[in-house]
Amino acid sequence: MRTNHRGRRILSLWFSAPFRSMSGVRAGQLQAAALIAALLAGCTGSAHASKDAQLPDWVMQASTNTPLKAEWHDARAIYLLEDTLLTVAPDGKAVERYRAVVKILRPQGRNFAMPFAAFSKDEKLESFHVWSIGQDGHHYAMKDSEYVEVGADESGILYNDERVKTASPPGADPGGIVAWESTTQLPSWDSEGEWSFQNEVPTLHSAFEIDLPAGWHQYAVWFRHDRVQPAEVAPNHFRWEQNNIDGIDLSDVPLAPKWRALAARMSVHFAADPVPEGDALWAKIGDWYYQLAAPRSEGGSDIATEARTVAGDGDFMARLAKVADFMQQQIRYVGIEIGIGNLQPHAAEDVFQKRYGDCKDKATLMIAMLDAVGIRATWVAVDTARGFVDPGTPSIAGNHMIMAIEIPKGYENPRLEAVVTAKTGRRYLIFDPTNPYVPVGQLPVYLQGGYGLLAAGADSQVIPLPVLKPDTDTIDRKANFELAPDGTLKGDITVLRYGALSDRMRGSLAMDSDKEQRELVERLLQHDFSTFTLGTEKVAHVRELDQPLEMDYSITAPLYAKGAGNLLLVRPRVVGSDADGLDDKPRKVPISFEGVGTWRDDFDVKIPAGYAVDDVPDPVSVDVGFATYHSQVKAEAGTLHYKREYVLKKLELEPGEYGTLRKLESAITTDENSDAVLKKQ
Amino acid sequence: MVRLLRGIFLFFALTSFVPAFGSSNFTQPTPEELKMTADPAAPGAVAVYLFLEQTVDDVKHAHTFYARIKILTEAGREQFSDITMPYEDKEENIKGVEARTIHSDGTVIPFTGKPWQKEVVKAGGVRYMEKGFSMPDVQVGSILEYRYETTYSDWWPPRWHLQQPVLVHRAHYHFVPGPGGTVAANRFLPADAQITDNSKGWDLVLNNVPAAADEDDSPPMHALGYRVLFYYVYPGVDTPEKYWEQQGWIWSHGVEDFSAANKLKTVVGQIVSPGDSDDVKLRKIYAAVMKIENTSFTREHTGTENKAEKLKFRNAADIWQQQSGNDREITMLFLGLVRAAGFKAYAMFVTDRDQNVFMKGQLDWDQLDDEIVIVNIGGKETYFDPGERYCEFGKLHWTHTWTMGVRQTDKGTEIAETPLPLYTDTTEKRFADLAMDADGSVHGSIRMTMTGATALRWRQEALESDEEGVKKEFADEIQQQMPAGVTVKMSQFSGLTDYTQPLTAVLDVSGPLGSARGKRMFLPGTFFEAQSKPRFVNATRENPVYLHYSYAVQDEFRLKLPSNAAVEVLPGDAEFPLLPNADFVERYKNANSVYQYGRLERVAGILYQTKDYPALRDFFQKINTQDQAQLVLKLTPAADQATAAQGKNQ
Repeated sequence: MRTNHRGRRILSLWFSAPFRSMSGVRAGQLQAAALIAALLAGCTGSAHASKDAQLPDWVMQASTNTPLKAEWHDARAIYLLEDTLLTVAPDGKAVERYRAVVKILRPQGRNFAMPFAAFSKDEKLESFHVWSIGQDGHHYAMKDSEYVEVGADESGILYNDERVKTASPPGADPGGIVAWESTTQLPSWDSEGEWSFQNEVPTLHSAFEIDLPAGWHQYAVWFRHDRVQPAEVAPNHFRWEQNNIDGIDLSDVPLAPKWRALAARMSVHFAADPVPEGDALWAKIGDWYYQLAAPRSEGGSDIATEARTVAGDGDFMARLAKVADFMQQQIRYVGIEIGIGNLQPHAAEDVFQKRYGDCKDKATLMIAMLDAVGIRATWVAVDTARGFVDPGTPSIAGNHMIMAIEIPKGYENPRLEAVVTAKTGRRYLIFDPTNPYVPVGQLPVYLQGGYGLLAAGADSQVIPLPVLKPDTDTIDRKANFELAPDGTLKGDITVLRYGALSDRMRGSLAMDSDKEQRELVERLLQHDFSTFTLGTEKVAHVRELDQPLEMDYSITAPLYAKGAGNLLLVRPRVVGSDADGLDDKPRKVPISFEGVGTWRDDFDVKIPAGYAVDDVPDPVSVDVGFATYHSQVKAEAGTLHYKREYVLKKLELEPGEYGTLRKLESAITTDENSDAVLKKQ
Repeated sequence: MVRLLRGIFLFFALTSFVPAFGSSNFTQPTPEELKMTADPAAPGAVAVYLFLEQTVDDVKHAHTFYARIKILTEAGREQFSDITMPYEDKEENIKGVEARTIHSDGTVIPFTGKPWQKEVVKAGGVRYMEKGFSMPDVQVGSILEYRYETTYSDWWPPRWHLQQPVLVHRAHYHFVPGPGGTVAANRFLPADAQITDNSKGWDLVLNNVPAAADEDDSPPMHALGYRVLFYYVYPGVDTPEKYWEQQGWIWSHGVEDFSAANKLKTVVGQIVSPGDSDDVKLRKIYAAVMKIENTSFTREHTGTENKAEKLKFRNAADIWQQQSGNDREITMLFLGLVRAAGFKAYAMFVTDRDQNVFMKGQLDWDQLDDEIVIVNIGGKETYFDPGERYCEFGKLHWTHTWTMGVRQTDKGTEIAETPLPLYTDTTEKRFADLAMDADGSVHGSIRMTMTGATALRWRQEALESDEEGVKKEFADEIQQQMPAGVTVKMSQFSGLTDYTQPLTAVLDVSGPLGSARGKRMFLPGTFFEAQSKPRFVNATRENPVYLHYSYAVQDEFRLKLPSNAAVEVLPGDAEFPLLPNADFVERYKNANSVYQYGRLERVAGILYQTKDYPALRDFFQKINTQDQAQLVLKLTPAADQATAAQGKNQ
């Protein structure tokens, strides 16, 4: 579920775990809290929420029946109103008042009518009120004692000081209406308001206001929406409005981009001085962050000594690789974030001593270590939802921190693949020290093709993150099998994984015991065999990132080939699938792949004595521009040779290309499931 | 409510990080411990406990926890380096936290910080908190050593779950009961382990406690494994018999008060007719109860709402009048109504089979989860589950089958067991009638009828979402099972609110089924299971297999072949018995250009010991192999067809 005042939530998510969800509080945790709230409300009975309460005018007004768009007939819920007012005091401190009125249309819509306000040490919650109208028309006003506070519990974050106030309102059934209002003091450093006016369900009316002190300035930037001019409703008090906004529901949409990379939003920057625009605004934000983080990268002599010891005397790449390896292997990911600690890294010295930190901590220590060995580096703020950071929308919003390492002029090395050239002409290698399974020189696939904010003082700017070549990320499967007349298949399989796409498998294997590794291989084989016995099984180079991840195993699969009279049907594509499951629904959102890459299979199946090849699947050759697929089966000297190559060249496709993708996937699926026919002689 | 929350919280506290303290000094590691890179006693383990100590002193009101953990892999480092210690604010306190990391070269890195403290949940005047810290500079090969103490205000008998996620080389558990308290223990210990009770308290020393295995389809994990569960024995309640009798008496009086049959006589007179047979009466009462809004499946209303709607919940008569109640209240209403109709009926409080295994020796009423009703019909007892909305007449929700609990009898209460589920209780019949075009695409429909647990699952899901939502979910699930290329669209979904009839779904089918190549076309031999995967993959098993319920799935498939195709090779008939627990039969037929098969899978047994696992796995693998059989069609070349057609015309 989405939070209420999403702007604040996005800001507070800055720079933590790379794989975390949008909200700091798990949905399950919120549901548990709501359950507790409901039970408590049941226990406390009439002593609490008052019925037939006087509801605020804005709730009543929003609840007035308004015709809805016909295409919203199956919506689970609808935001009748979202209204945010950001009031900035002359000292720059801002207070945000958020209001929401949600009507539940279907039982599943209850999840959207869960009042919710996040707060923390630096974000004080001044007030929180909840009202509701039952489907029978009863009015309710909840009381403070009925609210529940829940501590944030984010994946990968051991501790942060964020909490949420929530409630389970009376009357929250289909036909019922829930309204809430929260007032929150924003952190003193915050100079940006966020208006996320698009939700998972439709929104009838959304408004955002900013009330600035005399002489102050504002500048709004828009994401996935045309610029809208505000009305100046009072001196230096601006109001934007949107009506009839469709929801974005990505449930069951295959290969969908991340939700937050699609939802329209506006960021409004405010300051006493004129707010710069475009690249100048990016530079301002980047410089602000640089000034915040840079003092934390000043390492002591122990860091310098360790860095020199680790790096040795090699050239730029050799020294860099060794420091990167140290960061990836020796510094554990632990997130402890308090107040501005959501943004500002811990001191490199602390991270070095404790040998743990979150993404911005790891980047900071690595910057300090590289500095000690003569390599300059700086922070790059990114988001793991490709497309969320957008060059046209300068903003502090994001959820991850990586780094840019300056490459000496004229230096070349084939390992330097994730390279960008900044507007200053400097070349940077982009590196994510938090991901322990993608080698320096390459970039995790979830970052490729996005944008990041290079925090480099006055030279700060938004930079594109590179997309690596398809042949960088490769999976090679090779196997030799022997087929017995009873259909039993025996053989050895070797799978080599190269590049950033192997990080998930490396991570999974690294975190498994030997038994779990074996079970993982068994689960993978389950997709290809009904009955099988896994023989030997070996995994190599899980942490040696300069080597391909290697998995070797042997299998025996009884009844692999199906007997049919005097025929034996055998599937030459023995293991592994390159097909994506697609649907036949009209495609409305772009198609987003995990990463580009190349997948190759090369299998030999020796056919049993006394059988001859009667028929083999036709070769397949498809070139759709963004991908190629070639496959063929040959019968030679009593052996079936199956060879195929699938190359995916683009990370994202337009919705209109879905039909082409479906044809490609259909060809792949057919090829993968085709049998060769052996006939008894 | 608060008691429940506290119970849950204490459970987590006990099973996750629990108690503290032993001596005030840390232990000097041996050279062998420092050098260890793998543990022969636990091959491939990510870490091992070198030592684990938990002490509970109800005199001093303190639990202590002390651990020494050897990290053997990176996964072990991730799993054991972050320590969290939950507690309830004002009721408990965490103190005396000490920790250090020892590298394999003997270097000691002490934890010098202060544990962080955060609020987990605050509600209704109760505040659950958590303290925690991260062990400093943990490397593969490090030994982690830490301790802490939890203090509290009342008595807190321990529940020691002795198996950890990894092997424990040596463990010591110690319990000092509160002054004057009489303690008993429910023990599940390795054969060679002895728990001693002397003037200093209870002691248990264990060596090489195996890791707890986490496997799918296992019985509830905390009901397995080695454990010692202490409880205080109160005067006059010093045996399990007395405990359950006394608690049962209290519960039974509550049941009588709420169900209050005497207040339902008029109501039952409106539901049944004097001439109705017992069976008809019961069915009418059950049907009337099933119509009531069961808020356990929608949303429990708040006290304010109830007041606004002038709802009262004093007894079953109120529930009837308001036509709304939760699962428990509706169960009591059914009990009251059947009694008012003249039946002998009893309430039973059972342990949910997916949550726990009832143990008589564990004197804990919280083992019991839900209530059901037993009705004596003509001398025969029949079990009803009216709290489970849309549960079929005379059947139980699967979690309430083959479990134990406390039931009312004519003389009071006793511990009893509910019936075993039968495979005939949960059935699924799938019928497909399709026709194939010359290009291999098919069209037609499938019809599915479901009873028992399968039907109940969908009916109850519809209560929590809505009919449209559940239709979509059902169609999506069926789509996943279809052969590649085939698409289904929901046509009808009936019986969602009528538990007296099978739940029926009709779906339209279209899309390519066969792939033609040269002179042949290949089709999946079985339609409904074309995408299925073998149920048990792993070759070895440590826990018993514990299935949810017995079932029978019966398929009938008809495919009218196009004129250009004839069956060349039919899949072979198959029969796989796994008696007395399960069997499988599949037969194929080809006649008059129609390909047909029938398939029957019946699984009656729900519990399989580890020794039976290979046979069970083999059974499901054989079925899956059979389901992957291919149908081979011989295609007539277009020219031949034209000639044939011409001949016909002439």
